[in-house]
Amino acid sequence: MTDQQPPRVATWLAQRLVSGPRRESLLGDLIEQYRQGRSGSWYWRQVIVAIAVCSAHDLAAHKWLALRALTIGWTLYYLFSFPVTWAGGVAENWVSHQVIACEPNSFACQFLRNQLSVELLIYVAAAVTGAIVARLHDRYWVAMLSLFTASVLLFECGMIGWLASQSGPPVPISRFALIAANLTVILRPLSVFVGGMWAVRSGLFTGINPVHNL
Amino acid sequence: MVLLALVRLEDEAYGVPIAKAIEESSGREVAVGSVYITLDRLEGKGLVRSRVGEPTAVRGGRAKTYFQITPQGLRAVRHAQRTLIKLWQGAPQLRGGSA
Repeated sequence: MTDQQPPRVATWLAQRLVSGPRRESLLGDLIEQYRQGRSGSWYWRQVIVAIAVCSAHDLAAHKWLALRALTIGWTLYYLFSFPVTWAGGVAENWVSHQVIACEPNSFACQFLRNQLSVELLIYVAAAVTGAIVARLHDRYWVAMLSLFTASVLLFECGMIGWLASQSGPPVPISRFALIAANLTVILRPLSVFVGGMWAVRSGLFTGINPVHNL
Repeated sequence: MVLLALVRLEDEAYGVPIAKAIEESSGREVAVGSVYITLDRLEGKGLVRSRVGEPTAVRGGRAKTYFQITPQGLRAVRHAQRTLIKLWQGAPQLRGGSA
């Protein structure tokens, strides 16, 4: 038996993302086993499985809430696309007048002038959407937000695949373009989840601090 | 398996020994989170009851939740045992341990 501290990030995640009334007992069990000689990778595996299993249990037990979370999330995601498109256009116009010292035909320059501002606004809209979905499902926010985040990830992967299939014969793509496309796929759903998590932790929209996960 | 582990552990049944008992019997790593989900479900059916113990330093100041099988749970275990024995007897390929 040792006094060694288990991986802090894993414990931090478990405290916030494991749902259900047994969270503290479960964490205590994991810490006890870790101090009895289990490895850090074992601890991480247990935390990840616990988060997944508890979320799956909540989803299976509350199918209508899951459907509501998806409906609200996608409606907001769609509705936010209008102000984002408008504001993105304004921002693009402003940025293209500011950025003059770059090679106009390069992908980096085009991305900086035409896409970056829109992309940043999309992340903000995604975060706000995640925040609203999480706050509307306080008690089961981890499960509902995870479901909506997973659906956004699937959608973005599908969009990239569809765009790739529409672009005709393969053309050489710069490394920067490839990284930007992959980041888009990851960062949009990540923004949804981080926005939701932040809203629950900070008590956004209600003025209280309710981690109603018990 | 979880109910049988509770029967074997009697008053000392909480997450760690339950998971270890199942691991030793099955030879596979057990997810403690899955054990708790199963125990919650069994408690909802009235097959198990729980009580919270005292927090200890070795667990980072967190309390253990002890579980105990109820008379209804014991009946369920016996029923499962009888069902398995009947099914076993109806499978001649498994007799003698050659399969």
